[in-house]
Amino acid sequence: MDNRKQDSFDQRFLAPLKNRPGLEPDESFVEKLRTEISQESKINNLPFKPKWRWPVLVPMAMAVLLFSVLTASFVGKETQMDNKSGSDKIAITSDTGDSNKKDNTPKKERDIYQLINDHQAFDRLYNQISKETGSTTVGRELVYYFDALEKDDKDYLREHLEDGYSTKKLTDLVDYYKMADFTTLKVETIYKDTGAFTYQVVISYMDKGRKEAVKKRLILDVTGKTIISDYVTPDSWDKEKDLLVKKKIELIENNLTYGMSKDEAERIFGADYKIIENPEIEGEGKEEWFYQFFVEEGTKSSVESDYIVDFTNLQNQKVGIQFWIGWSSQNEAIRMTVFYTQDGQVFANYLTEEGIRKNQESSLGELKQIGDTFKLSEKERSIYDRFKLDRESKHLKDLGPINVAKLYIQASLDGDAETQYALYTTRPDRVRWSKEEHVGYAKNEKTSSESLLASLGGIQNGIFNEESDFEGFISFETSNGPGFFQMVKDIDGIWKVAFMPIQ
Amino acid sequence: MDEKRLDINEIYDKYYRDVYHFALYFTNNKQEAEDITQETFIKIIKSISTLKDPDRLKTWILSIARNTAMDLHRKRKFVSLFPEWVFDKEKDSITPEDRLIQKGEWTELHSALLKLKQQYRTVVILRGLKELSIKETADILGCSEAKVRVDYHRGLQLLKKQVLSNDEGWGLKDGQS
Repeated sequence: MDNRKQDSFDQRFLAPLKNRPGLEPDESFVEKLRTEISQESKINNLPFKPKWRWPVLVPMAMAVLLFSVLTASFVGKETQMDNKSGSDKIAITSDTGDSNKKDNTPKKERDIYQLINDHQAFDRLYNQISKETGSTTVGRELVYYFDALEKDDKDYLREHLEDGYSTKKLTDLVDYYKMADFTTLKVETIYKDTGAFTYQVVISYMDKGRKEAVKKRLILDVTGKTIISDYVTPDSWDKEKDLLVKKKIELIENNLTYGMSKDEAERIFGADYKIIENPEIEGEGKEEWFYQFFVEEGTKSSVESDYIVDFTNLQNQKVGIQFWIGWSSQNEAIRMTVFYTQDGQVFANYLTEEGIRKNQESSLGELKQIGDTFKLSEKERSIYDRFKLDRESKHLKDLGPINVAKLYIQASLDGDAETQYALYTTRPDRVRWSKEEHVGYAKNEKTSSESLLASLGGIQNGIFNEESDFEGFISFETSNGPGFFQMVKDIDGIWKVAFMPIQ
Repeated sequence: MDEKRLDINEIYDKYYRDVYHFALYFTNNKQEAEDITQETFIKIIKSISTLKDPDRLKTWILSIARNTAMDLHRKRKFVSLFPEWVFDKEKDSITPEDRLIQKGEWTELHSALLKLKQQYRTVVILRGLKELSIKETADILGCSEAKVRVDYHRGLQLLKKQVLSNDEGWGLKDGQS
């Protein structure tokens, strides 16, 4: 055996050990040791290195010691004197009153090890997230966040929450969590956004006031200083405005057409738009019409330019809808984006250049409970009813992947195996079984509505994650943890359910 | 690394995994690996001022880890009167899932590694598992590069022999600690 062959053999021989499980240290140990080292290094006065340290330090230490002794005796005298005279100078010594003491005390840093030691739920949360993400950062920052909420530490919250948290909004947030039982705090799911240092975390806890489990999605941006996005629906949410927005959105959604002319757009959506240039678009489609509907009087935009979504005002319900149409040089609509709020949530719809509509729900705020709220929207219901009659894919052309998945669930709930089968992808490279096999299987394997909704009902609140031009998956919460549902775009551009028996 | 920028927190973040891996390979015991890692970094804090050449930081750290592991091993050997108890205790803390994972062949290799003399075990860990260069390994062990080559070759031979002997139930004395 020559040396190279021998080396390669040795490497293969050692490979199982090199890749053995449990090789990485526990995150809690790493964090604990980091804290200890940091403290120890402070005692040892690190960082340093110079070899000249001792000769300089010894006289320095002597000088400091001498100074301390002199100062102590001087301050002692001063204090005694001031105590006698009742002067305010006493405030500079350690015998200050409580309020002064509080002001002068440097902000106490949060100690993750201490927190997870003292709080079982924090320990669980921290370890679970560290294990899932392979990093201690997200878990640590979340523990700090909940600790700050629990202790009403508004300074910390103001520093770590996304921009736009006014004092009122901050108070709303702290009040919202007042009834949260943090001993029941759990992480339901955590996703890292591709290509970004952003994590979406779904947490759950018991609300002592409402006496029910609450699920909530937060976003953590750990690119630099951690910024947390958390959203609470204000108590004063205007339901009537919601209805108006809903109606307008239906009008917009039903008329969003790729290639429509400016005249048509003006006729349908009105002439109350602003012509803007979108600097993020290169080439065609720079010109945009920008509509805003249901804007509260006196509302000031929170963003620096009209091509940027004004999330703050959408979330505050000061703006009901923001809507952009991008125009080609032939004055045809080639891009449309609409953002709007419903029930405290921001939703977005896009019409892309391929003419495909994508629905995206705001990923912030409280999540509706799974199962009992599963319902087709009016539009989905009418498409579903038409589709059931002839099972022709053309009815689905305006639907996004989540909508199609919802029709699939509805067909399953109705026990309509043929409609269900018609919602499977017809891509030739995807394995499918025959309709007869499917119908036969469905007859023998009946699933109760409850268990079906428990496992798939969360799809309607899920997020669609695109994997390629024609494929992606819906991530959502189920009663047993995270769920995934694969979707495939057929050759005719219509989203269908990927054939996977486990789905 | 720039001399002026030696910061213990940075050092820790950069090398704690290397130290822990070494310790875990050396002991195959999570608790001992944690003890070794902790003690290694405490020693680093106390003696970093003695490091003359910052370019040697990694090998210097690993040489401290190695010495710490050997010290601990020596202490444990002295007090370890109840190896079965230690073994059972460790087994109790393993979940059924862990047990399932551990059925892989790495367990066999690891138990064979632990049976090697420290001299061979260390060189196999540093060269073979942590993939350090011959020069770096020699620096850590404080020996010549030629000795590293010979010991590594010998260590691997003994490891293979050990694995075979485990399979066939042979007793093996040569190279055992």
